[in-house]
Amino acid sequence: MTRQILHLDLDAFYATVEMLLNPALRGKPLIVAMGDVNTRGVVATASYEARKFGVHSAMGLREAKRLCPQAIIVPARHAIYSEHSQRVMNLLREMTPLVEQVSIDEAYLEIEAARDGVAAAREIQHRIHDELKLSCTIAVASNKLVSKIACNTVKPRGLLVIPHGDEEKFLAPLPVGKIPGAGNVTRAKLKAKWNVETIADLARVNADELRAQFGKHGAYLADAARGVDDSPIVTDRATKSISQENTFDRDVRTRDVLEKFLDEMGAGVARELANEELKARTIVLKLRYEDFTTITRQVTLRAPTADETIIRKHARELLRQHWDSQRAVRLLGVGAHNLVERDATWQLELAL
Amino acid sequence: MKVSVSQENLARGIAIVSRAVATRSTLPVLSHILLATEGGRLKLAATNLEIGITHWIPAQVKTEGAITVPARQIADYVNALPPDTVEMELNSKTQTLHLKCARYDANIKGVDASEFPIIPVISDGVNQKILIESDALKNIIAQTTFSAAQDDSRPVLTGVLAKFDKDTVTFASADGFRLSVRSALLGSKLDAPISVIIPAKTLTDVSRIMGDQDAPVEIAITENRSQVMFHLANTDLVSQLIDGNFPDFNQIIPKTRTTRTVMNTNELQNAVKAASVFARESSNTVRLNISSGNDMGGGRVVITAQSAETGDNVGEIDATVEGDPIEIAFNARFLADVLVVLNSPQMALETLGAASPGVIKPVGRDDFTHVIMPMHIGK
Repeated sequence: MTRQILHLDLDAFYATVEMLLNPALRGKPLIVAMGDVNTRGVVATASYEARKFGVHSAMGLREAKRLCPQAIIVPARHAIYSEHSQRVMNLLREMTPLVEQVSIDEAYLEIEAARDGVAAAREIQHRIHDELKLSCTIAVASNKLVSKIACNTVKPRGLLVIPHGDEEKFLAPLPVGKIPGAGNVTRAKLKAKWNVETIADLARVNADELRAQFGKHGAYLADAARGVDDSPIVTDRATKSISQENTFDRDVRTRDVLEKFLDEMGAGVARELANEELKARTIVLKLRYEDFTTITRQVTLRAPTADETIIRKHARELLRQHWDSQRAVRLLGVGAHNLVERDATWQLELAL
Repeated sequence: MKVSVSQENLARGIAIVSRAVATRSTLPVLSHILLATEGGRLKLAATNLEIGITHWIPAQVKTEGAITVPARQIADYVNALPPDTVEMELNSKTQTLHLKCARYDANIKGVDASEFPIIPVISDGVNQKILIESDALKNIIAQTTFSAAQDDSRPVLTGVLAKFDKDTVTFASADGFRLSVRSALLGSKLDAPISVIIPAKTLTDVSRIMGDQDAPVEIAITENRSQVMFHLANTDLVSQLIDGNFPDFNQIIPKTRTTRTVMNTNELQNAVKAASVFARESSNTVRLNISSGNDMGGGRVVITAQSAETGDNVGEIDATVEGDPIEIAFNARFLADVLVVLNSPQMALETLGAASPGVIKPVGRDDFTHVIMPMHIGK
């Protein structure tokens, strides 16, 4: 049976929220910055007006100002974005219980076969626009992989439908780098060995050879090239863990930038814990390198916490211990696992 | 090198220095033990660069010499030998150590002794020498090392603060949930006070190596406060010190109390042991319900633990209670840890409230104070 998967991505989310709160910013090149707004900060989100000048997330502010001197720079206000994100997710859950929130501004939905997935996507776009004054891009496809790739091709305010059977045809002309997980190293190998540039080129490579070259990842690439993916929607109603992650526009090699994103996500995780009246005993760092190798490292605390500063501190410490700084980072995530009710029994700490 | 020693002395000496052998090291020679003749004895030494242990055993030295051999290999081999004389001879051309004992013969391939790092000897650059009775040292080590932090998120807390002042030493350790402070008299008087942070593991090693040694222990600290040496009978242990500032523990010790509960240490220990069977499933929580009885006494402590899965338990012991009744919960393991080293038939628990630190002290002595944070009890 054909599934109907929607991938939804809020357009320039932080910047859009800022414009919503201050209409004077609308239509202007706007940069929402993390860290020091004046010098050492980095771009969290740039409005589409600023992106035209080449500004992208994780770029140093100095560089961003050079590219777009007229940009208005505002400091990120995470608590506010988190609140707006929550509203979006609540709205999505009204449409279907099968919602998988991937990050603060991204989610997958599955619409059951009896309903019209495209109509649902339109309705979501309208409601998000009318009720929440935000804009989003949605792609409808038969699986998560294709809907995710499709969504990125029509931002902002886009709606794209890839009918079942057209997956491979749709992917064929796209550069192979559009496949999540085809990082610099993978791409270089594909190019050197099989002269792969587009996804169509990749689809022509024998799946066994890909497996021989890349192992499990090769099997994934072979499937991805044909638009095949059967991963399920993972709803998190029981809240076994809370996490946030961020895929960078460009791979990041600077500790400072990674730390700023960690701080932001740590704060986001702390807020979600507070909302759910939970505390976490384990803090998890997730790092994906440019070659798509992914590591998760964790630290278990002796007292559960929902404290933003403690979560940030441990996330930074994990980064310090485990990031191989020779390697560029493609994705960074912070998670809180081993959750306990806020009112559970726990060991109090000495005021050392 | 040609030397004979007794198998017992050799096995014991190897066991002692093996505490300092590196288990994972990029420097292969650190997984070796150095054997060297020195002043008519055989010197055994090992180091992981954090600590270094040197031990001397009686020997008949025929030819001087030195070699390093893999620690694991020589330890396992010597332990398997009968209690007889072990004759060792080094073939310096092949760096092979020949061992002969009763009807056993072995050749162990070694590495040149010159590759072994020099274990510092604290003789020059020593600030002051400190003497302490071996029993006192063993006690203060036992009463403090257990509450040092296991994880190294704050490295200073993995150590024990040692403050030497005039004729008194104070050890303190804390792991974020509990604090132990123990003082003792020194066998010598210091000219100037000195504070250092000694890794808890070093102190545990010192205590184990001391065994039942009677002779006082000599402690020396280098002038730059980077290393400490314990001079024991036939053994020297040198350890790096932990750099950093130990938190001010005095401000953690509550200065007031609303309830003082005196109990028999063994009775409480048993009651906690019984309760902990049921506490395992519930974050190790045991509750102490303390009530004061009347003027004639009759105070008591009810110790309970419950788990939704495994059941519950109620135990009761007599107590002399001054002040308000209180219910307070502790981690059973933390209670057990301190009760086992308390070394006093009667103990006092001083409390200030269910969420404030409790203080445990031996009755009749004021040289040991243990502060323990309660458990927060949810709804």
